[in-house]
Amino acid sequence: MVEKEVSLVDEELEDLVIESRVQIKEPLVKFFHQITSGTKKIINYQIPSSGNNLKTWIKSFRGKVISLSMLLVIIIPLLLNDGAYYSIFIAAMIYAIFAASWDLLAGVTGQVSFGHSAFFGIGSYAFAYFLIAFQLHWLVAILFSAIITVVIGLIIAIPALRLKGPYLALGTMAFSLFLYYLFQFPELDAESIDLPLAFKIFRWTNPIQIFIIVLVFMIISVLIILIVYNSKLGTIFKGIRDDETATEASGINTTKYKLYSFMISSFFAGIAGSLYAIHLTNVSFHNYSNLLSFYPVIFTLLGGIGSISGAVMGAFTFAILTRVISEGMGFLSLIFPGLPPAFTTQIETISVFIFAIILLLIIRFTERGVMEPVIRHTKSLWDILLGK
Amino acid sequence: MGTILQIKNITKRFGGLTAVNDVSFEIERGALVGLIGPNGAGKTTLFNLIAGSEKQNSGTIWFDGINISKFSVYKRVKQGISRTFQIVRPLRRLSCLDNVIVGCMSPRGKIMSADIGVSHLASSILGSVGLVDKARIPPIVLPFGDLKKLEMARALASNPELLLLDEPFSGLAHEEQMIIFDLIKRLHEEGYTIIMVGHVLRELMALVPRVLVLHQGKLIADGTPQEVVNNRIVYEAYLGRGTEDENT
Repeated sequence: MVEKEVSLVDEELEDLVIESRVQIKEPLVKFFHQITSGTKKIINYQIPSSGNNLKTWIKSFRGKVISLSMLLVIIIPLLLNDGAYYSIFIAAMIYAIFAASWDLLAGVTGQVSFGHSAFFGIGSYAFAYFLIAFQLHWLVAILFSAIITVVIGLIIAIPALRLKGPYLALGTMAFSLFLYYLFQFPELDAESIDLPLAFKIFRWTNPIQIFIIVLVFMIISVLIILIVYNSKLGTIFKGIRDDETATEASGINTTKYKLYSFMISSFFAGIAGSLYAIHLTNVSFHNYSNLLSFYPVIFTLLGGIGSISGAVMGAFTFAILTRVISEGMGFLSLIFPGLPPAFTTQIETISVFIFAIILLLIIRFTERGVMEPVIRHTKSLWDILLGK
Repeated sequence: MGTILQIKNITKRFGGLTAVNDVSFEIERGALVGLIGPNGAGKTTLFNLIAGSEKQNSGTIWFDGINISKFSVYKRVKQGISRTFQIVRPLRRLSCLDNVIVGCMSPRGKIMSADIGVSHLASSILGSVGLVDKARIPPIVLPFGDLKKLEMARALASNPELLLLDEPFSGLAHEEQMIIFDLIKRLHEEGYTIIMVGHVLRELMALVPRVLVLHQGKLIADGTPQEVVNNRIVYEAYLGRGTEDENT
């Protein structure tokens, strides 16, 4: 009887008990200080100060390259000022948000999901729903749809996070497949919904507007994800990825933090989904497709997993590379008119095929993505050019 | 001072093997206790049971007046039990400082670091085990001795009252053993309750005032090092039965 009563102490009381005990233990901090008083200088040197981080980052070669390429990404489409190019970059930026959100969950927290398109699709459908049924402002609709995605993400995550490794990947994939077929039901009448273009608060015909809006959303989203990545929260996420048992032994409620990671990730996947709906002015069940689930995986592996910026870069590389390949194919078919007709009619398919081969080579030769080696080699090339 | 840890008739079976067999003992607050026994005696299993990474088949564990028998690992850390692993488990891709920061982000660690900040506390803890100059380095490149120290630092980061040290000396050079030795001594003087598993009896005997001996899952002796060394059952457990017994 006594045992039962004591074990039923509620959480709050537990916390109180702990706090009072810890106050007795207060000299502990002094104890560590006393030990380390001789090494104070080293400690101050070792603690990274967040204020200096950005400065040193921009001054470093890596920071210069990344900020330069970001500037180029913004400037090039504006200079070209062509609808088709805008659309490539808009898609690339949406995929960048999507891939970064997947990287936070899979690359940083180690919870690999092969069903991320579920969140993408939920985000886009919720956006369309808020826009049509409630006639909300598009900005509010994006925010609400992201929140809806988080709620549904939680409903999936609570049972799914009991699974580990490949089983988690399969479980999330099953969920996205379920949604994929659910939204094809004729009774639901949601296979494809066109967004009301003539809506008074949603009337963009100029792609430059969408380009700028998506750009702003991408910068904010990626910045927030990067801030999480570099925060103490991010440190715990990385700890869970490296060794969940050891992290739990450090007193971290790993289930709670995995849920946090799932929530943040599905929030940004939802934003990516609603931006995609704006971009296509249409939502369809294809937003739940398996291919879309694997896009962030491909982009992240391409750029380098577990670094967020790698995921962003992978998305852009993919978008630009497929475009370059398909342009190249078109050029080839112009030079060699004798090529089989499949070459000219199936340019898209063939360029995806070539891209797959390039991806295979990349995975074979650089396990950690292309971004780190590219930056390293550019740096050594730069050093040679400067005669260092 | 009173009892801090009370273990009552705890039993753990793996299939047909009884790793811990009906073990009961009490630990006083602030005590420094050694837990020894030959290979496969169930020392690490007993540790896992106290820390919560294994669940007992029967028996109860009381910590500071609370029945923690069914608590998960992190909840036990929240109560104040912290452990190190015999086979070190650093977070390989984080820096040493981040390894400790993870522990400082636990509920008890947060309370401890409320005044001076998590990063500062974490580097102070690293300093106390002599790793502060390696704070920025990921543990992947560290030698084994440093990993052992990091393991200690991670256990301290969650601000425990009861420290479970699984083989803190194994695989260390003599000088490194002395650093850990001094640290354990100082922690003991500071009022921590410490239970340590040891293979190397010499170090352990010099350090601890009380020794528990496990053999084939059973607690066969409990007393001061001198008593234990002179205990015939312990002697037999380690070296086998003498010739006299064989004759009789």
